[in-house]
Amino acid sequence: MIVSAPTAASGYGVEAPKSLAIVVDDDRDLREALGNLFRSVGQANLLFSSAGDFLDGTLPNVPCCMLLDIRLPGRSGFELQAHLERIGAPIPIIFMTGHGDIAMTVRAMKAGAVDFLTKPFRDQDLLDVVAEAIDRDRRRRAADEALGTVRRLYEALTPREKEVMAYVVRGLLNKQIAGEMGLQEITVKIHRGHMMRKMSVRSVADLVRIAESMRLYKIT
Amino acid sequence: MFVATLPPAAGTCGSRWFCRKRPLRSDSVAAGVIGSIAAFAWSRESLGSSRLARHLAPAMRTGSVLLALTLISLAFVTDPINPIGTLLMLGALTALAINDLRSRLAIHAQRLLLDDVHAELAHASRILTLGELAASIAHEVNQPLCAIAANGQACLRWFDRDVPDVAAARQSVERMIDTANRAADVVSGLNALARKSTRSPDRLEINDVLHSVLALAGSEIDAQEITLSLDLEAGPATVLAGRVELEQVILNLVMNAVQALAHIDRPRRLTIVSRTVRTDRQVIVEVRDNGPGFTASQADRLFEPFYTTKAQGLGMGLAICRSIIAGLGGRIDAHENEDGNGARLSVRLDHADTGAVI
Repeated sequence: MIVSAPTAASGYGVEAPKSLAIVVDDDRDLREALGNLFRSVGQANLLFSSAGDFLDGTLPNVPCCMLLDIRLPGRSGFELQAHLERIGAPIPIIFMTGHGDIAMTVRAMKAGAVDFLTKPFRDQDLLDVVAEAIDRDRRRRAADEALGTVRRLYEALTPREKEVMAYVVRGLLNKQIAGEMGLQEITVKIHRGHMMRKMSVRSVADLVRIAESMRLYKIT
Repeated sequence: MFVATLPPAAGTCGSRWFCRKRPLRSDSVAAGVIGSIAAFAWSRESLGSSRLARHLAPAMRTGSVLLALTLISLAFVTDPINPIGTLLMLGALTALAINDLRSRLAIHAQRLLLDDVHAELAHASRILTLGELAASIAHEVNQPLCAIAANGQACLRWFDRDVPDVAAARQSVERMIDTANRAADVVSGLNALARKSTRSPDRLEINDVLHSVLALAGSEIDAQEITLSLDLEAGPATVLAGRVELEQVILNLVMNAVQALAHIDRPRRLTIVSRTVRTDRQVIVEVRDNGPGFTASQADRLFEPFYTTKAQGLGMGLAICRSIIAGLGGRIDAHENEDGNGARLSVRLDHADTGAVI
C-alpha cells in the first residue's frame, strides 16, 4: 500500500477528496452497489476485490475508513486488519459480515475494529458509521500532526534544556533542579526560560500536557 | 436343517428304496405327509420375520430342491397309481412353491422398505451437507440481497437530490435487476440439491458430475487456499446413477477433504481423479488430500454410522455415501495416500457400457 501526497488519483475524480471510504469485498455486485451508494451522497470511495489488491493500490493521504468483508479469498479480513496494524497504518475498520456471530464480533472489536455491520444493513446505518469512522481518523491525524510538531520542538532543545524540562515536569523547584544538576539557580532559570520559549508554552501545566502526549514522564 | 436327513436313510420308504426294494404304499404316504408338514413349517417360518426370511433364503432354496428331489424319486419308486400318495406329493410340491414365492415376496418387500429408508437417508444427508455449507450459502444469498438493498437506497438518494440524477437512478435499478437474477440462480441451484431424487438412474458422464460438484464446493476450496488438481479420464466414463445422489457422495468426499485440510499449515492440496479400468469395466473416482489422514483403527470405522473424527460431526456422511454407492452396485474405500500423507477416498462404479469395448 502506497500513501501518496494528496494529488489526483483514479476512482474519485480529478480533485483529491476530503475523505475516502475504502471498500474491500470480493463480491462485485455488492462492491459496486456500495460505490453507487457512496457516490449518491457525494462520498469519495475506492473499491478493492481483495486484501492483496488493496495493498497494491495507492491511497491519497486523507482521512479515510475501510469497509472490510470478513470472508475474503486469500488473506481474510482479520489478517488484513492485523497486517495494517503491524505496518502502522491505523485505518479505522468497519467489518461487514453476512453471518455475524458474537464470537466474531468480539474478536473484531478486540482487534480494534471501530464497528461491525451485518449484511444487509440500512443505508443510513452504514453512512453513519462511515462518517464516524472518518471523523475518528481525522482526529487521529490531527493528534498525530500535533504530536509531530511537539516532537520536532523537543528535538530542537539542547541536552541541558531537555534535562531541565524533565525536572520541571516532575514538579521540582528551580532551587531543587539546581541542586540536582549541580548548577547555579540563575543558570537553571536561563535554561528554563529558553526551554519554555522553544517549546512555545506559557505555563508549566501546558508543558506537562505536552510531556504527557510525548510520554516523557519516565525521563530523569 | 433336518431336510438333509430326509433322503434316503430317513423313513422306511427311503431305506427300502436305498436297499433296491419297493417301498410300501403306507410309507410313501407317510413321506408325502412329512414333506407337506416340512414345507408348511418353512412357510410359517418365512412369514414369522421377513428379515429372517432374507437370511434363510439360500438354505430354503437348497432345502426345497432336496425335498422335491426326494419326493419325485419316491413317486417313481412307489406305486404310480397310488392316488393318495401322488396327491400328497403334489400338495407338498405346491406348498414348497408357495413357500418359495412367499419368501421371495417378503424379501422384495424388505428391499422396497430398505430403498425407502435409503432414499430418506440420502435426502437427510443432502440436507446435512447443506448445513455444513450453510455459511457459504448464507454468504451467497446474503451478498446479492445486500447489494440490491444498497442499490435501492442509492437510487432513492439519486432521486432525492436537489437536481434528481435520473440516469444514475436508472442505472441503480438496472443493477438491482441484474443482482436479483444472480440471486435467483443461486436459489435454483440450491433447490436442485435439496430436491428428493426420483430414483431413476441416468447415464452420467463422471466428469460432468465432478464439475458440477466443484461448482458447488469451489468457493469453499478457494476460501481455504487449497490447490486443486484435476486428473480426469479423457475417454468416455459413463455410469448409471441418480445424478443428485452421486453428486451428493462426491460433494461429501470433497467437503471432508476441505475440512481435513483446514487443520494443516503446509500448502493444501486436493486432487480429484477419474479413471476407467478396462479389465474390470469399472469407473473409479478418487478424492485425495494432504491433510492429517487417519490411523488404521480409524480407517476400519470410517464408514460406520455415527462414527466421526470431527468435533461437530454427526458421523452420517460416509455411512450414507457407502449406502448410496452400495445401492448403485459399487464400492467406496478409504486409504492412506501413497506417500503416507493425507487421505485417499475411492469410489468404484460399474461402467454403464459394460458390453462396449472400453
